[in-house]
Amino acid sequence: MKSLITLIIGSFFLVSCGIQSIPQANNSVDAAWAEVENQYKRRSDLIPNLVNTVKGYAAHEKDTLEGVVNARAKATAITIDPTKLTPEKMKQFQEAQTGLSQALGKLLVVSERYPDLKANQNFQGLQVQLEGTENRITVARARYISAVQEFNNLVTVFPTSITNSVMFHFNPKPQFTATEEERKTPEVKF
Amino acid sequence: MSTWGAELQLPNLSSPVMDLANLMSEGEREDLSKLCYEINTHNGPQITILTVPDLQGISIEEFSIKVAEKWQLGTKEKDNGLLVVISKAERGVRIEVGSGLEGDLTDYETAQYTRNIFPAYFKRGQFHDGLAIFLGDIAKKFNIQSVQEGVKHIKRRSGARIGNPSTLMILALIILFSALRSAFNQGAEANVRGAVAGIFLAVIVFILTSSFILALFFWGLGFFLGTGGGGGYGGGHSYRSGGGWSGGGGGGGWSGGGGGFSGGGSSGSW
Repeated sequence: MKSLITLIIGSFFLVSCGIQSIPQANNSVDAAWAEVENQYKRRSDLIPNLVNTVKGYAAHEKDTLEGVVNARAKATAITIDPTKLTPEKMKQFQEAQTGLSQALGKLLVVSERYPDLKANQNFQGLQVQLEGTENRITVARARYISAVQEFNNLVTVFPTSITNSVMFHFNPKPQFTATEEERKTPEVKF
Repeated sequence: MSTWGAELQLPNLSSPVMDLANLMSEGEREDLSKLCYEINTHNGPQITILTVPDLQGISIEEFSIKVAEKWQLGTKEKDNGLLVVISKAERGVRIEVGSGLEGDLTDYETAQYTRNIFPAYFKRGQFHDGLAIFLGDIAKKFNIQSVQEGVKHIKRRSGARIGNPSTLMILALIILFSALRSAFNQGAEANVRGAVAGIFLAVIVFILTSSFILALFFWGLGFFLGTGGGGGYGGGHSYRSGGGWSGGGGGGGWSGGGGGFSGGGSSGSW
């Protein structure tokens, strides 16, 4: 009986100490990151089709189109293993994706000048999908941000921080930050 | 991002139709509720309609995902929740699609409603009809006959409509008043005047709009004005579907089952 009580009290103690919650939070961050990458990938997957559609109507907007293709190539080149998330890699990833966002924004602004393109069913469909994907990215990023916040609190704030430094040795995870360019660029609304 | 996680007043889920902006009548709300229950009990998605007076200063996308995260519509296994948010002040509408439904209902499909069909109805204040059409189409996807029957009588509209009903309305009103004048001049009994004016109007409206419900409404209006009655006017549109199924309306509780959302769907304005 006594051992049972000890076991119960002990397990409560362990739970509150983060022995369970730290790895759980770690898994949540990994999952949240996977979703972020997944949604960014979804966006890149839409681009070839979009570029081809625009090309059909606005072939001489060569610079803008090439800008998108190049930015896409850069963005898809960077993928990060969730277990190896570092602030530097995160920064690279974010810069590449922001570059793509800007190139896409330009393309959509240019598209405004072509009524036939705007009336194209395929283009309209792509626009809706792109908008939906941007929204999914926003949601995935917000979820990553709160998952990281929770994890970082666990590994840096007493008492769970002790458990971390004794047992897990996790570093705080890098957080999304608004880059200079992101702050400057107005959101593209379709 | 700064507003994400800020203090928001999010409503608690209690029914499939949370008409907080009071855009519909009690009867209309009940009718839509029935349809939502019916869809849900036939293994369709868990659909909930939310109308709000305003969005508390954030975008409709952000507001709607917050509500979806709180309510967790749909089941944990299927993530088959579907949330429709309508904001009155911003005149915004969004369909938020549960992550398990994104294949069945693509963003592009939802955009047909948020950008075309919903605005066509909502601009006229026909929130019930627009939403019922949507529910009917969802029911079709999931092969739920009873719901499709229930919304059959509702007239299809889309944004690209040629005849503008508001001009028809004005025309009908002009006819109404001239009809009343002539009825009064004849000096007939009040009830007779009313009946004459009502029937006359109803026929005209029916010819113009080919809408039986609208005609009925104008018949009531004509009768009321014709008789010169002063009491409370309680006509209004009668949209009750009176469908073949007996849903029992409200029935059991309406709460989320742990369904997840990841931001799928689309938004529009009306």
